Amino acid sequence: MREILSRIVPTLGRMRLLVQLFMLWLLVYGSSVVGYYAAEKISGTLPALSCAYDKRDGDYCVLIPTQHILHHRIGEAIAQGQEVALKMLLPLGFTVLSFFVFFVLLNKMFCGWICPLGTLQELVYRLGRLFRLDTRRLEERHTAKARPVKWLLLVLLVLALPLAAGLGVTPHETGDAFCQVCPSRLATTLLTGDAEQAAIHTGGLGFAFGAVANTLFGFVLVGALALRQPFCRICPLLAFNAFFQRTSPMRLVKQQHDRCAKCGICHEACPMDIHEIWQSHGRGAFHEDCTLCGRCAEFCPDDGVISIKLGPLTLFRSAREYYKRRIRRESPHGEMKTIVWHDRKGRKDHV
Amino acid sequence: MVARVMLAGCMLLAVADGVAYGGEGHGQHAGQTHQPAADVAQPWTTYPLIEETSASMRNRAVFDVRNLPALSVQVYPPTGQGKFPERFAVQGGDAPYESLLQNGRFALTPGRKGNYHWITARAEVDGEVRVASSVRYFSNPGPAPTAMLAQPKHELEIVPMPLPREHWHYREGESWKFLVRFQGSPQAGATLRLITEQGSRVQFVADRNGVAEVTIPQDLPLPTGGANAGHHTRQKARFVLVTSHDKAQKHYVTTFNYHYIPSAMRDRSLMAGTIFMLLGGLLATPLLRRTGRGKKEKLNA
Ligand code: SF4
Ligand code: SF4
Repeated sequence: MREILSRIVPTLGRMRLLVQLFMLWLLVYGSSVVGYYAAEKISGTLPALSCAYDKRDGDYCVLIPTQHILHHRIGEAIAQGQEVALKMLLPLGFTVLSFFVFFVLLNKMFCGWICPLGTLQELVYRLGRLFRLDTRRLEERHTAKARPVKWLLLVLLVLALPLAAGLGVTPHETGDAFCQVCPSRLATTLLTGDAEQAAIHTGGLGFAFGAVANTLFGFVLVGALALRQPFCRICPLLAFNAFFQRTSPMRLVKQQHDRCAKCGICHEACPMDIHEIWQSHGRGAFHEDCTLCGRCAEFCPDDGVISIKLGPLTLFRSAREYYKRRIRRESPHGEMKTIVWHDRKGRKDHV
Repeated sequence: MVARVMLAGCMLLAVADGVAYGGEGHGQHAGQTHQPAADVAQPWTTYPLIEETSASMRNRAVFDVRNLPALSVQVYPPTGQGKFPERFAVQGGDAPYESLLQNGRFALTPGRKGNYHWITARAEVDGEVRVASSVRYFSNPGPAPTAMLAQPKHELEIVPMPLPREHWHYREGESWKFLVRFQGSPQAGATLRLITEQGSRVQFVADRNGVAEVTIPQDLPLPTGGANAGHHTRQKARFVLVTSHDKAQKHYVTTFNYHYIPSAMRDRSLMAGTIFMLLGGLLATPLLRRTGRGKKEKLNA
């Protein structure tokens, strides 16, 4: 039994892929399992981009209620001259609380293990490897520019514009501004064979939003063939989740280690190009962009340097023997069956 | 278990009053958008109807019962336990209740719990049993209407399977399933007639499970206020579904009336959408240029 299991799930990467595929199915087509009406969805505040425009979905992402409350409850109430009383803020509080009940268990694993859009981008990247396309990475100077974008999108599209729509300052369509440009809306609805969201409005602001959304979607789809997780890097949900990242007992831990300076495979393995996982340790290594995918721990060739922990429990830790097996299947960049050998001193050696 | 209960409780509070979400974006739910001028005297059908009037407000819906000499209506808030996680949360809304009609009119004010409300009115005229039914959605937390719909209410019934989800509508060109049942049993081969305010008349036949797939006709005129008129001025029209049955020298006629909105694709262009997707793909092609990285890795192999 154990042997069969270890054949099906030989690595953490395989386990993650299986979880991702299951969650992709559950979140995109899961209404037949969880239920069709909103009251039957898994949470209604999921920390992953699961879209309500998908008529067969299993859950909705937390950004939907956040925008909705800012638009229809808080914004409209202020516009009508009512005080922003507890009654108006309560739904927002409960949305965050409901989000947190899930989030606290898995932290940003929702990005790396559960988000349908994250999974789809990874699958497209695998396709790129099948076509033997070269891979692209973001250098440190590029990530420095890309990283603030997610916060900007969170503040502008998820918080400010919906509130402004409620206040009557901006048009009604901006009430769910992020949903209007979200690539997950297009990806998940197209996966269910529904072309409505891919068809853009023929006039007004709807056209502008549609043009941006579809261009972004096309860019992400093609870009993901060579660059890992292009949208994740600017995703406002990554920022939203990052806000609560330190409140969860689930975390990435990296010990200081002498050989790191000459190595850096963890950085090469990281789909988010987080250089801090290589150059830092302790708190600084668990960066706000980390999706807890665990690839850095899988590809670290030294025992116990990087680990994923839940409170005092170590769920996974880097180990030389594991690394040897892992690297035989896949390179840190995701090329399949490429063998790059690292000796104990961290020097690269090729077989 | 405790966490589940807590979670479900939070969820329901989160969807409290005005926080129910769905694919139609942020327009009001079908039952809340501006109503067609139901109070206008001009009849569009002689079948029994329960129609919302323009006197409705956010949390108080006013209805007229038409073409039916009923004295009261029965209101069924969503009740009973549903699937996980709802069964741990709100244990139903209020029990079904009766509301007396005044000049054929009544007001429906929901309790704190319960979103979908099923409304029926029944009258016997010359040995014919006539039942009108409709539904109203309020933005309140509450269980899914699955159990409420499953509950038998009259002899002959038309049961939506399912109702449009929160914020969704019946739309032109869409197919929706309806169950026809008599005394709780599905009626295989039953006929469902669809009549729209625009004058369409279509007939559908239930399969062996008593379920008919009803396609909403594309008969709404093009709007005069521009294609992209927005949620709050959304065009809509009324429809009624009618079925009948004979048993023990009694004739039964039951209706379900609601409304529908224009086709989803009316003011959208798939062609334009595809062009912008291709543009996005084109903009990403520099990322696909050879970098030598793949080559290096292949050499490493
Ligand atoms: S730092 Fe490690 S766990 Fe985090 S995203 Fe990068 S590879 Fe994944
Ligand atoms: S892979 Fe391990 S040894 Fe190499 S730099 Fe990263 S943490 Fe250090």
